[in-house]
Amino acid sequence: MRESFPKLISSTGALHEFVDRFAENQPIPEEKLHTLRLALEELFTNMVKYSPEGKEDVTVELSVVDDSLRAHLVDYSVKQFDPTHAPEVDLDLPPEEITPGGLGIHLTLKMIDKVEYEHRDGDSHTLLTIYLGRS
Amino acid sequence: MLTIERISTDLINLGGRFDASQVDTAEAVLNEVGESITIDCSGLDYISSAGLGTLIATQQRLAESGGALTLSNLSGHIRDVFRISGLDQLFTIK
Repeated sequence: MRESFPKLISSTGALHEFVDRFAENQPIPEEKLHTLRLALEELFTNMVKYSPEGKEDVTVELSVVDDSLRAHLVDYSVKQFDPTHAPEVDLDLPPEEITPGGLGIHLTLKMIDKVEYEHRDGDSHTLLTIYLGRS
Repeated sequence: MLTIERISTDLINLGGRFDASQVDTAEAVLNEVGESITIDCSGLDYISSAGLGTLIATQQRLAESGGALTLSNLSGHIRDVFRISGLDQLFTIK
């Protein structure tokens, strides 16, 4: 199942509705869907905020292959940004110094089983894999 | 869709999905809070880092005058998000 989303923060609602439709006919545990939603939103909003040079819609493809839930995001005509090499978030800051910066990628890398990134022909491809643990 | 309602001077109900597109809706209510308050999250299905950022900013603003946000009735998934973010140390969660 594949859909395109304008690079706007307001597209996050449509992104979640897309996951809703995908999940309608898939026996995917709620906690896995929650993790998927979170990672998709965090990666998508990063593309909106930090890769404004790409004007095309971002495409998201969701699938279940064997025992894995997969998501493939493509951000077109952008500079390379590999989320798997994002700086570590300092979780030991004093309360007054805590900021949300970097938390989204931190959550994605901690909660998703496998995150792969490739910058190919000027486009950013991010592939997420969540093991469903059904077999 | 996010729902946020000020029930009383010390209680807010938060429900639905707190995603990046809902930050303005939440801020409209949270920016009116001037002292310690509890947010009942029993209806909250989802929160992203954008939602966390809104709560962090509110907590930090209240802390300047000795106040605090208390978060109650978090689901298991959302509790995990706070734990993995290290934010279970910033907020009182019950």
